[in-house]
Amino acid sequence: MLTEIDDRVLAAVNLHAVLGALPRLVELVPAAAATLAALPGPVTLTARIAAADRARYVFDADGVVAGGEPRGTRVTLLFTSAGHANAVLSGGGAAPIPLGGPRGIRFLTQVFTPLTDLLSRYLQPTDADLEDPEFADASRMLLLDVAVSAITVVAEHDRSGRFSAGQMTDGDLDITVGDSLRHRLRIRDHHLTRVAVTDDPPRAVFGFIDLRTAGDVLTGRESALACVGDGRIAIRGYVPLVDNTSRILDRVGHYLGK
Amino acid sequence: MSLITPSPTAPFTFTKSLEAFARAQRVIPAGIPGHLGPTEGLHLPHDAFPKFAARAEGTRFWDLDGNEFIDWMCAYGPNILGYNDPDVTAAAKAQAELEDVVSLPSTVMIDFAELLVDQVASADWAVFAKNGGDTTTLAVMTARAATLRKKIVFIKGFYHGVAPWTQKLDYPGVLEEEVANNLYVPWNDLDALRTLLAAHRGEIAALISTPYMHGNFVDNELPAEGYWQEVRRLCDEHGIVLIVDDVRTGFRLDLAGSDHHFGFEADLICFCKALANGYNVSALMGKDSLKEAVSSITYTGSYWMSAVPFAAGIATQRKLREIDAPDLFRRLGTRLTDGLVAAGAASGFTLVASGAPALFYLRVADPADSLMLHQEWVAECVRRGVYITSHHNHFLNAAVTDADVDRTVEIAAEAFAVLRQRHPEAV
Repeated sequence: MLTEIDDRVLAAVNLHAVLGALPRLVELVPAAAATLAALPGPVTLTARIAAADRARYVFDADGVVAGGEPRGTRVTLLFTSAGHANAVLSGGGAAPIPLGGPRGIRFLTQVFTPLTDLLSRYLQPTDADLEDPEFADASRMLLLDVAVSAITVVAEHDRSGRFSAGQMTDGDLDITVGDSLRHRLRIRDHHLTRVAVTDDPPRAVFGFIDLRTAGDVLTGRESALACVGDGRIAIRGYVPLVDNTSRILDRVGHYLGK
Repeated sequence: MSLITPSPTAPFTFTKSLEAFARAQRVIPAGIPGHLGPTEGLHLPHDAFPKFAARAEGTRFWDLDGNEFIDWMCAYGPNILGYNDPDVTAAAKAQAELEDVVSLPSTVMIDFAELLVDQVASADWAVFAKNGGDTTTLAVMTARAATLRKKIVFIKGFYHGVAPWTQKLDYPGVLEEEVANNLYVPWNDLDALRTLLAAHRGEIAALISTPYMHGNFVDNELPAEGYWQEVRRLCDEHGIVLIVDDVRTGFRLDLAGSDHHFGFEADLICFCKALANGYNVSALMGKDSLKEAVSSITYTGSYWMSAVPFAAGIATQRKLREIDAPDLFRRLGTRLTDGLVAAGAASGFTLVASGAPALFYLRVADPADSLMLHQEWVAECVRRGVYITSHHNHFLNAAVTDADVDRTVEIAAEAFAVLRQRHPEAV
């Protein structure tokens, strides 16, 4: 158990997993889609940490794509360090260095910032927010999306995460919610990636019985151990894949503050 | 006592067990913490397994719902003569009437130590504690005290208890510093061991290993020809204390110790599960050369010199000798695993039995190597009264009869038939 947080890993989680949920936010939340609908043309945003990591998102009126070919207006959010990126993306009041023309800057203030504010609200829901069933479902789906992406980031970059990945043999692990939602992680040579779900059977399954359980566990409202104990989390298949992924997920919790 | 034979067509239900588990969850973290509970990945699916036992006798236990099980887990090892063995129970009762936990120990402790020193081929002394992990920790401390070195060699897939030094970097509550001196090599890989020892010459205090690889989630693996003899030689060459963790295997393979069974001598050997047929005692045993080192260590516990388990241990070991228990376990374990493998084949499944027959490990093979078919089969066996687990070795006890073996194979065959019906295409 490492007791410290690596700023570079947290920045990678923020750049790739948290901002990586923007495409799903737009799919799930009408207010996000409405914000995007006002875009006159595509905008490519690059979030870049000086001499380190970067992530690119392409926005247009139809949605957001992570990665992909740059299109339309270019705008860059430059961070001087991982710590700087984390201070900005955690909403701590720090400001990024925006690089772009007037259209790019307008995009940042009129589209990007409202979208990330909305994302923050869905990823850090209050009890009152969760009383709205539609909000609650969207929030829980987004939390799971962020968590699954963050698992791959932490398994690749964090010392404890790499140790856990080092214990894993090859195979696909499905993270499911009831019968309705399924994410797949592929483990190859101790590296974890997200892949599309196919009909090929996974080697192991980590299943939440429902979205509420998934959301409550991921936000720390509920004990994962208790859920395993009473069947609200069901595991099957090659259990070491689940065990080690759970250890990485614990570490994700350290980074996301859960 | 009459034993109720479960109906072949009426799988058990566990209503009272699950209700009790819900009660437990409210006041006990995880409901049932540790290896007997559902959070260790052994109750798959959760509701196919009973959670609490109401009573036990011989080879069987009964759960809260009154379901009767032939128990091949044997309390994960301690049940070696059969639950509530009359001779052990009588010895324990007689000692309890005299004394148990008192301000001074009973000489029954000396009697037990003498018996074990006489019985275990490699050992000259015994120190008693309560759990296997107490003895593996004391063994490592002894090795460090004797060698003034820090590093410990582990065999990958190991389990030596739950003390922080036995865990890993990514385990909750375990500090990096507590596992910083752990080195790892694969089982049966002498080249890797030679390389590791050469790279850390003069730094390694001990090599700790089970007598064979009986890890979870993998087929168990016996030592290759000459493996242990070369490990012994390498430890001598490098001045490394050789610790055998015989907690799980002890007295099921060989009453003189599993090192004796495989033809070598450990410097330190750890026993627990089969010492006293469920009465709570463990023992670290070792060579004279380490007696001074182990004596120098501050290591004790409130109940470590309780007399009743010593008396139970003496009765247990005497009876194991009288009946030549290892030979019985080998014969019955082989008969059982042969029967189970044949039952699988009859339904078109490949059941792999590995490890020593006395501690057999099972796996239903599937092309994806996912263990899902295996988990389903285990669950169907449990629902019909054969208590096995999906990813842990099993245990023989001396109360097992040929009839128990036959009934187990019968239920296993029925479970395989259920599996075939559910998965007509499965290999």
